[in-house]
Amino acid sequence: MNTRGPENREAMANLQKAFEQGAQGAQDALRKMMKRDLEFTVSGVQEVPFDQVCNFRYPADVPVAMIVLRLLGAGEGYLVFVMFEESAKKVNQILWEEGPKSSEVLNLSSISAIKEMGNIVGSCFLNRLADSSGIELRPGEPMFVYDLMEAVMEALLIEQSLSSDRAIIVDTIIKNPQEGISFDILFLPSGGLLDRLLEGLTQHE
Amino acid sequence: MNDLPELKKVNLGIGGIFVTAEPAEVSTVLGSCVSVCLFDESRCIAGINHYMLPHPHEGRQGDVGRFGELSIPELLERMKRQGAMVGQMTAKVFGGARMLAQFSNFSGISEANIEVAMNLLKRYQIRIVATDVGGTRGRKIMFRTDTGRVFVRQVGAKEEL
Repeated sequence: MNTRGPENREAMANLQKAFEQGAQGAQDALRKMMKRDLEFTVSGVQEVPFDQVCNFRYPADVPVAMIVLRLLGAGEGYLVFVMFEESAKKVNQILWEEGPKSSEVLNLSSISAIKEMGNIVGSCFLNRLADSSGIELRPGEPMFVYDLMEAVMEALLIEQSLSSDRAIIVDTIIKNPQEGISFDILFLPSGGLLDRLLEGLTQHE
Repeated sequence: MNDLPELKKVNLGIGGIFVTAEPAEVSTVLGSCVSVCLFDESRCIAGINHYMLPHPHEGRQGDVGRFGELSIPELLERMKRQGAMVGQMTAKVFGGARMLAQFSNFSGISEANIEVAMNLLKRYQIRIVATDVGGTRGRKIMFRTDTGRVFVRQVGAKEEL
């Protein structure tokens, strides 16, 4: 549900467009890294209440694997990659070129590979946003988390809650249907970053 | 064979407060947030909240459920309106994990959430009979309002308190 007025809806459309362009760069980088075809889809930009963020696409009480990138530069917030454990294991198998080991838990080396993937994809998105808006944005060191979806999301939303009770989600789905890999990207800007981004995207259009 | 009525299932989100004199199972997922579960066994009245921050900040006074300092007194008032007696209540406190500890911005909020619960319950002289707080992992809690029992599930572990 988008509660913004017409001029802001246009600005939100600009944000979606910037993410779509970032997705193209990220898709190319990830294809090279994983030597696989991946489909990137930016399905929309939404402003949602906190309780909907916590249940966004994933049940609140199911463990998920997440890579969390804190935004650095001229803005605050987070870029979050979310996937079920099975997708994380499959990404690990591909990146390490190992055979199927479905019972293997994620270990330190696999986590580092997944974090690096998040870093590369996150950089593509943030570079595109920075180029389009004129606002310096870059990813901080990635953090890997495996825990209940809502538990992690509410920690991320604490900063946002100081100024709002709604969050912005740029819903990006990355899929490799043949191998069952699927993950989502959530963009959680805070501290006025969204308004500055929208203004910057409009000025640089 | 007894046909027991199906237990009502309730999901409690951030900022929620739920009080009932009916049997129900109330579930909520906690990261750095805290839930206080109150139970008056003599009258079978139970209540639970889920708050995100310890104290309200400027301009956000209206969000009673979101702040422990406001949510816990509101929970207590709703229990009393249902007929519960403060002197008969017991409390169980959950949550306050240091999620995402790598990001230093989060340090202190979890501990402050726990502290506000402990301080207020002490002020109201409500006996705390169980806690599962702190750590770095999320929790799913399931509160039975007919018995006061709470089941806690973390990734890789389960416990009843």
